[in-house]
Amino acid sequence: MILKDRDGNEICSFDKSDLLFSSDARQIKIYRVRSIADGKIKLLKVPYDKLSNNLIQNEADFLRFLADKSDEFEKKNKQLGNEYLIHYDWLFPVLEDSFLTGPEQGGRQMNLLSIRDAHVADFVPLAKMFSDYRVDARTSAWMLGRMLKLQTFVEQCGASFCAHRDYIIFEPKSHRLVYLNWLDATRNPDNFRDNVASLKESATCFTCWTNWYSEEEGLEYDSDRFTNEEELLETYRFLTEYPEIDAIEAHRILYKTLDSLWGRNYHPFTYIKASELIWHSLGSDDDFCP
Amino acid sequence: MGHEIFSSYDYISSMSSRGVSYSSDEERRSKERKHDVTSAARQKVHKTGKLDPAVDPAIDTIRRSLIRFEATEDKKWRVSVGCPMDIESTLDSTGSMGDNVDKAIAVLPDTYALASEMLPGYDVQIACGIFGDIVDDFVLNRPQFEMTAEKIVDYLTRMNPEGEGGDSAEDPQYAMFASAYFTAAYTNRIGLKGYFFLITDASMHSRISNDMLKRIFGDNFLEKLHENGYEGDEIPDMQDVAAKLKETKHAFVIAVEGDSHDRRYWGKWFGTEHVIRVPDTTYLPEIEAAIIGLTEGTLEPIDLEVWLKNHQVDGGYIDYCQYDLRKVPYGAQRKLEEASEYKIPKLGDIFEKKTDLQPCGHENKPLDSPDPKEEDGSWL
Repeated sequence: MILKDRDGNEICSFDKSDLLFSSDARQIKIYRVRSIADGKIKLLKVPYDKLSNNLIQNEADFLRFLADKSDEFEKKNKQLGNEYLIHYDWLFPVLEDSFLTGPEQGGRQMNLLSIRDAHVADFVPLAKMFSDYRVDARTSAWMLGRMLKLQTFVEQCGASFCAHRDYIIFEPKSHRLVYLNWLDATRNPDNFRDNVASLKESATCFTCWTNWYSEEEGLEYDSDRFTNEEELLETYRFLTEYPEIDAIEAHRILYKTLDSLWGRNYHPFTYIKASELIWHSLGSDDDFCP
Repeated sequence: MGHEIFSSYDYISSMSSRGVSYSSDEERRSKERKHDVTSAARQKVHKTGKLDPAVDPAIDTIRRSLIRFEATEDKKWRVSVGCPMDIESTLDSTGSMGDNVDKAIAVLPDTYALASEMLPGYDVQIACGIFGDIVDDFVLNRPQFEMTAEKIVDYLTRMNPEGEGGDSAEDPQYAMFASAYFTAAYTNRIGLKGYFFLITDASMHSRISNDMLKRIFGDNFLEKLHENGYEGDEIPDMQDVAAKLKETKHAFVIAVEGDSHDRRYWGKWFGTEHVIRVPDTTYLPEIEAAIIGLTEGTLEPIDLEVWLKNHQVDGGYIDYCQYDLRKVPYGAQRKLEEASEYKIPKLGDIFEKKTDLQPCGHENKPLDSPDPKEEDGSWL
């Protein structure tokens, strides 16, 4: 199927089997699509009907806002004499286009998204892995660190959003993580409760995804099985139970723990499938297809 | 009741008959252009001590927005314009807002034209009133819903803006009370809502007093409440008023020179997504029309900024209010329409009796609506 905007310009092509996410609450779906303009694989956010057009527009506005803010932070960072890039822009999608379809396709507004400096096709939805896989502590730690970095950025922009694990995608080899849902994000700094909820959701999500956790036994730390991870578990517990701290503080606490345990060395994405007993570490030449 | 609607020609004639003329639209809307269209009315009030009956809330207290018909040959009734859409605005007339009636008259053609652009097929009916302070002689001037230039100009020129007081808290709660409890609108009967705009630069004394209700609406105001369907014996309090207003109207506050404090303050009564902060009232018709268009779904959020620019709204003004406009609940009227069992009448629909709710062939039949939980194929 080819999607066109209301002026008849072809935007992208896709099949309904390319569905990535479906959200009943908002009746918004995310598809993997191929852009007509450059042939690349991108993401398309599609509402069920035009009554969600305002949410799509809100997300478009917010992504532009985040992109501007990220550039601002990079400029300030450079002015301080730092050569490295902060790369907040690696944590949220790039808004390639926001367009209205014609009346024959419901007059719906849709957002075409890509990921900066990466290929959309290499990314895996966390939701696809959550039930059947577990990761080791260091793997969950770098992923939680990415979410906390994103939340730090959003809070510094004076904004808020309500995170949910269903909208996290990640690229395991290069340790990239991108958050995809900005429909309800707001530039109202009074919505601090959303940020608190986001922090709790992130911490809870990665706590439950680590191999400490099982559906049957809940969170259980067996010191015979796991060596020197207890401190990290306690950090996770703290962030889950006391999320009223701001993201900057949460980020600091997490990395203080990580630095004391392992430093900042690269750790390959290490996972286990629930039905197997064999751990896998993802090498640079390995493919990952859950 | 006829089929006349607002026309610019009638507007110019009405104003000319009152000694007011404009060389161009730019001159008409210019901030420098001063009018004094209510001086005769104010003098009369000063002399008689009474508000003109056309705008006195105590006389014919219940304001009605009705569907208009013309008789057919076979003694039925044909909708002569369309489904009525009641648009009520109440303007702060105190202190620095004291010339709002003059401004309202000057921009009337734009108010009507832009609202109609966002309401295709509807019979736009406008009630534009003013409110003041309880220390004023008259706290509220509230007209009937009217459709023609002559009638609207007429009631505006009969108003009595007292312009007293500073910019501290005022008393618009009685205007909210009137809109909530003393309006009989066809829109509500078919599950839709009309529009209510409160335009002010101040906060509100949020107390409803029995004495003030009698003073504004007459000693027998409780009878009138019951006549219009109110079932309680106690007078509604402010929370009741706000709830009832939101139940029957897409109600918005346009906060002039508003800041984040005003958004939070009015947000407590109307919901923050119903508070629009503007730097001044220069582009009031455009802002009201944008709100109506977003609510009706006839103005797409993606087109908002371009639409405002195309209507010559200043860039700085757009920057000031765009954030709030983007929070207006898009398509809220369409959601009500989907949930309603009723067909929205159109020009030419035939009714058996004037008092019927629905045209012939649609008596209380639920409308078909698509199931939103269909499989993927239906999404594309």
